[in-house]
Amino acid sequence: MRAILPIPSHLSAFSRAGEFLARLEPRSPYGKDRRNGLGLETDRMVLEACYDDIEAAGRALSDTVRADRLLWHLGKIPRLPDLESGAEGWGLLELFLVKKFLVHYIGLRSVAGEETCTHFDLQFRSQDFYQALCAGNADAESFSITAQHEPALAEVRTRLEALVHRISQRRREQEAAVRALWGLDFAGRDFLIVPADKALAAVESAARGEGPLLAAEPYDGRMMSVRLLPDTSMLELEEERRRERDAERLLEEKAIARLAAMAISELPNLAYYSAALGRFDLAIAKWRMVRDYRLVRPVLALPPSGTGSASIRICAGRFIPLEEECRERNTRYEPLDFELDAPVAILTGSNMGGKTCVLQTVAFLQILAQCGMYVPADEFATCVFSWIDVAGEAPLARKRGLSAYGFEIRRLVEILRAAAKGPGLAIFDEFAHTTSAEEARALMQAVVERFADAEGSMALFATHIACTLPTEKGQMFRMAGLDRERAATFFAGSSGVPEDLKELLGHINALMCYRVLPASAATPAEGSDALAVARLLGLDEDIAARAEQLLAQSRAGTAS
Amino acid sequence: MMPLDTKLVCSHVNLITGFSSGCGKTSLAKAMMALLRMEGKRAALLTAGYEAGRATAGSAAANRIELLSGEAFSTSAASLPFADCRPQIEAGPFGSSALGPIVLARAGRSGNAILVGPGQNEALADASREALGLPGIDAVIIDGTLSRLTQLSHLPEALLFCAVMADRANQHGIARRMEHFFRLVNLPQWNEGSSDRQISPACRRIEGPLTSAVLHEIYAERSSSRHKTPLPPLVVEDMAHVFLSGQELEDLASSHMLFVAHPVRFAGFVLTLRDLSPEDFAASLPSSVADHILCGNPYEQDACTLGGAA
Repeated sequence: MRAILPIPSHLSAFSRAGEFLARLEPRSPYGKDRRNGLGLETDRMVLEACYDDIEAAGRALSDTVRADRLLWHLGKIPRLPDLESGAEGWGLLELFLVKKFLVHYIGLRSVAGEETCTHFDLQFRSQDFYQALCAGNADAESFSITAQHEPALAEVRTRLEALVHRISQRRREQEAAVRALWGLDFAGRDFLIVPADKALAAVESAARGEGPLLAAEPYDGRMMSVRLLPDTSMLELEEERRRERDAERLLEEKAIARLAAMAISELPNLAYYSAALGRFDLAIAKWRMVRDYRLVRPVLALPPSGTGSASIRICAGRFIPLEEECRERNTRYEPLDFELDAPVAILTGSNMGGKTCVLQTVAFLQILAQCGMYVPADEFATCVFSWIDVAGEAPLARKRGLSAYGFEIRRLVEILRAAAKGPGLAIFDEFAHTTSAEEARALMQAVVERFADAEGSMALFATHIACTLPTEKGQMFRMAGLDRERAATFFAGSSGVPEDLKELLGHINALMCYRVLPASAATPAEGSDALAVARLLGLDEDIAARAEQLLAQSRAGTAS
Repeated sequence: MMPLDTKLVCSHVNLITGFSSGCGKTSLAKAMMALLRMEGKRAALLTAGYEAGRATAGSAAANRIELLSGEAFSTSAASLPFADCRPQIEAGPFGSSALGPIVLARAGRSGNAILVGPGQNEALADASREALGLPGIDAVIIDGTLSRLTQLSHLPEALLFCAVMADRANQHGIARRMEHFFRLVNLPQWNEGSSDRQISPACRRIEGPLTSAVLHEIYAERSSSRHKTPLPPLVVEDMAHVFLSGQELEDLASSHMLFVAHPVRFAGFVLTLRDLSPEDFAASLPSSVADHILCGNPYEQDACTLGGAA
C-alpha cells in the first residue's frame, strides 16, 4: 500500500508548513483525523484528486446558507464507537452515537446536493437500520429505547406511568394534609427544619392517626428535621413500581441487543461513511483556507524520469508566516518570483538579504502542494518529489549530542541516501558554514557535483561559499540585496542606530531588495554586504572601518 | 436575608461550592430543583466526578436523585440502565469518570437516576454549555465545583453559590473562611487598564496555582534584582488558583496587586446554622461579607420561603 510520508520535524520547523497546516479546521472527528494524518503525498494522480476535492468543496460552499448548514452538520457529527471491536456489546451510548452520526450524515447529504455526494462518495445504504434506530424518537438529536423498538414496552410503560402518577398524587395529598393539619409546608422538599415543639406536636398528632405519618430527628438545640413517611398504600405502590421497572429493564435489554445485532452488519457501511465524511470535511477545511489566504491550485508536471530534470516555477509566492510577521512589524514583504530548471541552484547575496526566506518559501510551497493543499502564489508549477529534506539550522543538534557541523553532516548523509533511491528536493541553508573556509568550499563543491548528476533530484543551496557549477547542470542566483548608496547615507544627519530592534529591522527592511536575480545580472557580482549590514546593525565604527581597510587590502593583494 | 429566587437561578449555570463535605451543597442543589419545580420550570443537575469508593454503576444510593419528567442530569452511560426515570441520552460523551463515559440524559418520566459527572474540567464546562442549550431546560445546577471552576468560570452564564454550615464550635473559623472566600470572589479582573502603566507597565501571569511558596519566590526575585522595580500586578487564571494564607491574600488584595483573568459572578452564601441565630453569626462577620448572605437554610420553613417573591 502506498504510504504518505510524514513531514520530518526539522523540515516542518524550517518550512513552517506544519504550523500553517495546523490552521486547517475540519469540524468532524473524521476530518480532524485526516488533518492530523497529513503528510507528503508522492503520487501525482492522488494529489490531483486532492485538488479536485478542494474545487468540489468550493462549489458546495458557494451558497452561504448551504455552507452554514453543511458546517453545522459537520460540527455535530460525533465519533462513532470503535467499529473494529464489533457491536456485540453495544449499549445505549453506542446506539445514541450511531444514531446521531447518521442523523447528521443524512442531513449533510441532503444539503450537499447530488453533485457533491457523487464527487465525495457520500453514499447512504443503511435506511432500515436508521429507521430502526429512530423509531419512536421524536427528537433527532436524542436517543432512548421506545415502545417501537420493543412493542411489549408500551404496556409496561403505561402501567409505570400510571404508578408514578399515583405515587406523586399520593405524595401531594400527604403534603397538603400536613400543611393543613400542622402548617408544615414541604413544597417539594425531602425534609423540613422546623422548631422542635412544632415538630413534636405534629409527630405526636400523626402517631395518634390524625394525619400522614411523620418522622422527626433532632437538628440542633431548638430545631428538628421532619420528613414524611410512606404509608402502606405508598409502600405497595412503590413495590409495584419496582416490579414493573424490572420488567421494563428486561425488555429494554432485549431491544438493545436487537439493535446491536443489526449494527453488526452495518459496521462496514459506517466505516465507509466516516471515511467519505472525513475526506469531505478536510476538503471543506482546505477550501476555507484557500478563500482566507488566496491560495491557488499548483500545476504538477509529470515526474522527472531518465535524464529529465525537475523544474519549479513560482510567481508571487508568499511565505505566509513571514508575510504575517512583516504585517505585524509594519515592514514590507516581497512575494517571491523564482524559476529553476536545473538539478542544482546556488543562491548568494547580502547577509539579511532574504536567502533563507527564499529557501523557506520554496519548501513551504512544495510541502503544501504535496500535502494536497493549494498554495499561496499567483502561480506555482512544480513536480512531485519522492522526498523533501533540508540541511540547515540545527536546533536539535545539541539534543542529539552533535555539534552544528555534525548535525549537518548527518543530515547530508540521510539526504544522499534518499537521493540514491529516488528523485527529491534537497535544500541546503548555509551548508558547512561552521567549519574552515577552505574545507567547507571543497565539501560544498563535492556535494554540488553529486547533485548535478542525481537524476530527477533538485538541490538548492543558499551560501556565501563560492562554487563552480557543472555546465548546464546548475544555475546561479543572487539576492538583489542591499541598496549600498542609500545605506551609506542612511544615518547621515540622524542621531545614530536606533536602540529599538523593531525600528532597526524596519530600516534594514527598507534598504533591502528581496528579489532573486540571475547571478550574471546582479550588481555587484559578488560579496555579501556583511560590513555594510554590520554597520546598519550598530557595529562600532572603528571596527567597521578597520575591517573595510583590511578587506580592501586583501582584495588588492588578490587582484595583483 | 432574601429567599432563594428562581429569577436569580434561571438561565444560569449555578455552581454550588462549599468549604467541606456535608456543608449542604447537595441539599442546596436539590432545594434549587424544588424551587424551580414549584414554578413549573425544569433544571439540569450535573456534578463533578464521582467518589471512587462508590464506583459501581448500579448501586450508588448516595448519588441517587429524584427527577421529574423533562429534567436533565449528568450520568455515566453504564448507569443508564439503572435509572428509573426512562432516560433518553441528549448529548455526550463528555469525558469520563470512574464509572466510564459521561452523558447528558433527560428523564422521560418521574423517577430516580444516579448522578455522575465528568472528572475533567473542560468536559464539565462542555456538558454545562450543552445542558443550558437543551430545549425546556431553564437552569443548570452543578453540585460541588470549586476545584472545577477553571473552565466553568469562562461561561458567561456562570453564577457561584457557596453553601456554608456553621455551629457554635466552628462559628469563628467558618466566619474567617467566608471572609477569605469573599476576598477571592472579589478579586478584580485583569485588563490592560488595571494598573497604573507609569508605575508598573506589565503584569506577571502566574501559570498554575499561586501558593505561599510561589509568592515568596516572587518576593525573593524582586529583592535580589539589581533594579529595585516595584512588584508587578500578579494575574492568576481564576480564584480557584489562589492558595494563600488569609494575611497574604489580604495584603495583596488590599494593595490591589492581585487579579484574576476570569472572574466568576458570586450570588452569595447560603447559610445553614445549628444552635446559632443568623444575627449572632452575622455579628462575627465584616458587614461587607454579611451583606452577601443570600439566604438561610432552604429547608427551614420559616427562614426561607421557597418560591417567594425576592
